[in-house]
Amino acid sequence: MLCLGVSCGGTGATRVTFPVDVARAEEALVTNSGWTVTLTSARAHLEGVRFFSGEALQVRRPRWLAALAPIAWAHPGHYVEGEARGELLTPLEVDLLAEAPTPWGEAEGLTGHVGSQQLTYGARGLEVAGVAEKDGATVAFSAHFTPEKPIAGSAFTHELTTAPGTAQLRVRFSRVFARVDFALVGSGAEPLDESSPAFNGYVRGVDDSGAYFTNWKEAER
Amino acid sequence: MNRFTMALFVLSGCGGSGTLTLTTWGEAYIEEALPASEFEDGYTVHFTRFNVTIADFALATRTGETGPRLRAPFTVDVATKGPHTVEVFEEVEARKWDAVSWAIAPATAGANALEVAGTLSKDGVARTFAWNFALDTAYTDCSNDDLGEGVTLAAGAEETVELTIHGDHLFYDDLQSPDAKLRGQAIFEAGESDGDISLADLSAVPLTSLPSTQYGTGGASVDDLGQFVSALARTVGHFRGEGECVTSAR
Repeated sequence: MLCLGVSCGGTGATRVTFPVDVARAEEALVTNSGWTVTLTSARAHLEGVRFFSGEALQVRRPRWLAALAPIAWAHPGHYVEGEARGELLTPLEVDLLAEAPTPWGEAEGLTGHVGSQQLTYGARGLEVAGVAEKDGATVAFSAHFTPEKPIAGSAFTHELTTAPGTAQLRVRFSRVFARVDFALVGSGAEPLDESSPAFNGYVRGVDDSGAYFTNWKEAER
Repeated sequence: MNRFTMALFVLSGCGGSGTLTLTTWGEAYIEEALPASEFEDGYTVHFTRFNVTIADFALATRTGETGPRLRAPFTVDVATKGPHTVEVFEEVEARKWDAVSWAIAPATAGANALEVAGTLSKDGVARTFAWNFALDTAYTDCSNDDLGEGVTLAAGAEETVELTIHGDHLFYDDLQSPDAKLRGQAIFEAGESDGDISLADLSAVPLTSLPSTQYGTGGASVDDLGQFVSALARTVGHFRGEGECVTSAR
């Protein structure tokens, strides 16, 4: 359990609670290899999310062509989570194709700067099914993958105060599927052959900290 | 002058100036070898050239005061015996300079910032590589866990700031994980056709052809081994040994 009490370190921070909801990010879903993906099912089995003061490693997009890491530390592993700012540890199975964001629950937190988040998947991870199309070819697919470790260093930049609002956690399927080439599905696509480059790309996408971000929406007055 | 006396002197605002020598060093990993014991898969690297262009070194404070700057980009082969003196700054105001920054950048338009050549070998079989990077990378807010933020210069003192180059970083197998290992196999195999491993060879290797437990990208949009090594090339710059800076593309 995180040390979220005001007395921890005597920082003067105030204990707060705030709702968290989950949805997919609304954006076009085309892979790097040109496949247009239409999802028919997308369920995430979430274990919890923690918020930290340390900045996400990818806090802005690069301008240069190769689009490599715009901000990094000089060693791998130097995402520094910093101080705990909040957590929500209630397991949730969420339909990411639902028309409206799914309420997850109330997170407990401390006021102060939030710079990043860590998302933990449950046993079934991220399960998807759908159809990929390219140049007249159609591939029906399904897949699921559960990361072994929390997805660390995703972006959530916010000054957490006592002002009411909602943390909106979003899943970017454009990043989840970016490296999936449906021409390379190995022995099958339903489910994706786990030894195939396509499944490898899916694994890398689910593990990609850039596939997740959280925004803060202030409550309407 | 011990650290306590120095701290008192600096804090008291007595003024004065000192000399700061800026150096760079590739350490034994670049000058001699990256030994097989450091690699997860037993490869060895010998660098024959490691040209790095240091630019825009500057002393400043977090409150906005500025000190001396490097007069011109300085290119040096850190595969040769070092440390190498980059510049000596005389009459530098004695104080804590807590906002030190520098860059590895092309000296002129179209030049490379980093030129790396050598061999990657295992079991008596060696393949060559020669990689040029025209990357422009800023290193800001430099600090060292043992020496603190930036550099503190006492009056009358001679202080050295070493910009340390870490050649092993080019062979890490993860851009974010603290569990990153040094690996050679995928890079070695990329040069199978002619025994030379070019950046083009590396770019022809999609990460999805490698085990998904290796070459993790964190949140970076990196899709092939060439992009991966190029991303790592931005991380070779360090500060006073193991110290670090915030690293960003310019």
